[in-house]
Amino acid sequence: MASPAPTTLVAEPITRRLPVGGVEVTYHDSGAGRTDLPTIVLVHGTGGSTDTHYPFIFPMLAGPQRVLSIDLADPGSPILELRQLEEQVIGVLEEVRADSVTLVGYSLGAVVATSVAGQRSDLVDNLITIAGWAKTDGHQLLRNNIWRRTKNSAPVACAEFSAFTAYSPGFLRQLPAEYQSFLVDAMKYDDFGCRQMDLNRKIDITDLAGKVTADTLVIACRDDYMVPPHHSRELFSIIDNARYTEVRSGHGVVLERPAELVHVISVFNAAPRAHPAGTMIAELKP
Amino acid sequence: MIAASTKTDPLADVDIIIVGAGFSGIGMGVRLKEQRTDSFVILERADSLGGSWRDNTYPGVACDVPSPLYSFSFQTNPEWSRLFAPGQEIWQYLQKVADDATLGEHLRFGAEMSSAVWDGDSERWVVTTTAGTFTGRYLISAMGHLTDPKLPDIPGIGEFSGTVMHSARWNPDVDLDGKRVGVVGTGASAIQVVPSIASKVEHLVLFQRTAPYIVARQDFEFTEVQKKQFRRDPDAISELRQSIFWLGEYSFAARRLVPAYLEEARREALSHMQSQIEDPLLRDLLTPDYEIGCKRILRSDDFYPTLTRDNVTLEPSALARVDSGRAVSSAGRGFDLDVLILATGFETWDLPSSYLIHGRNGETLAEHWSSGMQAYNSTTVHGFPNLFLLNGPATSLGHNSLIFMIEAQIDYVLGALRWADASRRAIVEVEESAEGRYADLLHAQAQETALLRGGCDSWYLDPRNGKATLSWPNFAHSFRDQCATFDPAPYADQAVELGA
Repeated sequence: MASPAPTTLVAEPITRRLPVGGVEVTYHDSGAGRTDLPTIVLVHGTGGSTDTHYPFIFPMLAGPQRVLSIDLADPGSPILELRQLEEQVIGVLEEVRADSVTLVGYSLGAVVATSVAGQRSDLVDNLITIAGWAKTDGHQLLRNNIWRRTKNSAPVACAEFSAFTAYSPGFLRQLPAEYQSFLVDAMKYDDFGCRQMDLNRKIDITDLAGKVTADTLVIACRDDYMVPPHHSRELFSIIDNARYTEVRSGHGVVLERPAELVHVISVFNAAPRAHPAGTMIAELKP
Repeated sequence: MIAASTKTDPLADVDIIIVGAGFSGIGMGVRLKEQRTDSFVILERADSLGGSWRDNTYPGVACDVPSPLYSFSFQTNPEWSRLFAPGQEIWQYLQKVADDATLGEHLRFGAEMSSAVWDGDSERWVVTTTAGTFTGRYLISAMGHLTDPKLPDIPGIGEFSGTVMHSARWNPDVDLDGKRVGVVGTGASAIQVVPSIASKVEHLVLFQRTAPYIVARQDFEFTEVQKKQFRRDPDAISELRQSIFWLGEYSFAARRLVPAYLEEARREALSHMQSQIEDPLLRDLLTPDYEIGCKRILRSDDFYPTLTRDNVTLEPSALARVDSGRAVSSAGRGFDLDVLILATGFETWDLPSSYLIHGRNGETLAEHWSSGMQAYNSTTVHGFPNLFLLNGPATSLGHNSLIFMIEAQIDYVLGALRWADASRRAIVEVEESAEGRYADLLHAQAQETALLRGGCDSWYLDPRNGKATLSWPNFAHSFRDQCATFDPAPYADQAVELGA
């Protein structure tokens, strides 16, 4: 039987490159939305990219609103500083100059996004942090230590440990074995990823987070062993203009519960002030 | 039948008339009770409640949405026997929901609506039924869209010497043992019927017009320990419902044609087929010629294996005609059969109930919808004051639970009723332009999905306008996010002050 006609997305995103501070930053642009909702700008987490962290969220948020997603570039310096990543995000925001922007960061990307919002309120109208944090704590350092001690000497154990801490027990238990090994195999860190892991050890954006004025939604993951919900609750308390909500997921929420993130982000972007600052927003109960 | 008198019926004149006692009508009734609204009647043409789950009793009938989610959020059920509960169990669940809410006094059985007419003078709906006439300020149509069996127009079928029955009107007295049986269709009903009867019939011929995509069902029985946990810890059900719901939402990315997810969905279905079918010729016949998600993706573990039985023939074309007792396929092959089972689905885009509802100036919904059905927020229609449609246009879903959609609609209706009461409005009628804009928006969204771009002809499509008017073309959660909260803006200008 004839194979079906190839079907593809109606609107293919456009990929652009922008020189910022000596490196070339790549960002993907879904094109104009159907409405005048704020443009969503996505920043991925440690070791990620648009492809690996937002394969679902980027195309599925596009449509009603324009969506941009930044692939953070390796500045090449032996020690990665948060400032270098912030510059890249600021560079893209300045280049795009959308009328209204909702900056969304995941994990380390949430740290970057919060820090950018704290410095450049002119560029960030709304902020969403997914599994973000303000200051690295002892629990995170312990996990980071295990990762460092095993990444060269016991790479398989390192990948297994990373997957073990990246996904919730409820998610892992229902996965067929072949999917589990697929997730474990995907736990690879290149040079840039390793320097991001080093950067993760020394995060402290408490002061800048306190300067965020954007309408903010803080999203925590209930079963997160990489950035447990207490970090998001702390951000929720530091940022005056923040609301808080929790998703029943591990840290790998972008792959574990991406559709729920699309829901939470869409609702917030359509009406950032629907809930007053300080609200703990209940989850959708289907 | 003699029209019964409603003179002595305390519910002959009420605030709200609900027509239909399936999931929509019962859910609406329960929520009204919860709001301490008692002035409502639920009219049901059959002699019991249950809708599809009362009507569909064919062997193997079950839901293809996991039962923990295919149930009301306000009354979860720790007792489901398995992930995909049999139809009978769903029917019993719905009866229990009605009983627990003491809906009995509101139900009128054997009350088949012959017309519902808006009376502009009294500003009330007048509903004529086989059990008498009922009047109400509001009419809530809860008649579903998978209600009236669709009978294909097959020349000569009237002269078929054996028995013909539709899967939704199963006659348990028809003996299939040792019979030659033809099954027409390869939709959700057919793939449940075929494995359930194949071992008892002498020979089974399946007429397949188009091959469906089928994925593994992965059904299982709930253990006693699991049920005990559900009873003791209600959050365990919430957790499971959420996990099923968001997995269903995940599968919408394939329907939105995002390449990686489309490929993943296609691979899942085709590898399921290939793991169960070895014969390359049969594989070829069972490979769909359209994009996955264009038609409903089915779930079955025993359909493909049944097709490999010696007494089962897959006829890869439709049933075209019946010639003196012989069923002839459109490919010209003839089969001598004793029983024909029509698993041909339901009237969907041209709802029979729409011919019975008359709005302003006597216009019927069917006339209003002559070029295709539409309703603002999938619920209200211009020219039909104080009418609410549940589970009507643009509410069908291929990837998640319809009960979720129905509950969002019920919330919307309750919001509208509250607004009308609070603002002392007699009339709730949506503006024509809002209804049109909503329909246009949905069509634009549907054009980005496999519904309209998947290269198939499905029951979602209205041949009159080529639109998927039955389907909600987005995530299920978006329906709740966008359509569950009543906003009076597109209504305000239409409304008239009560008593003015």
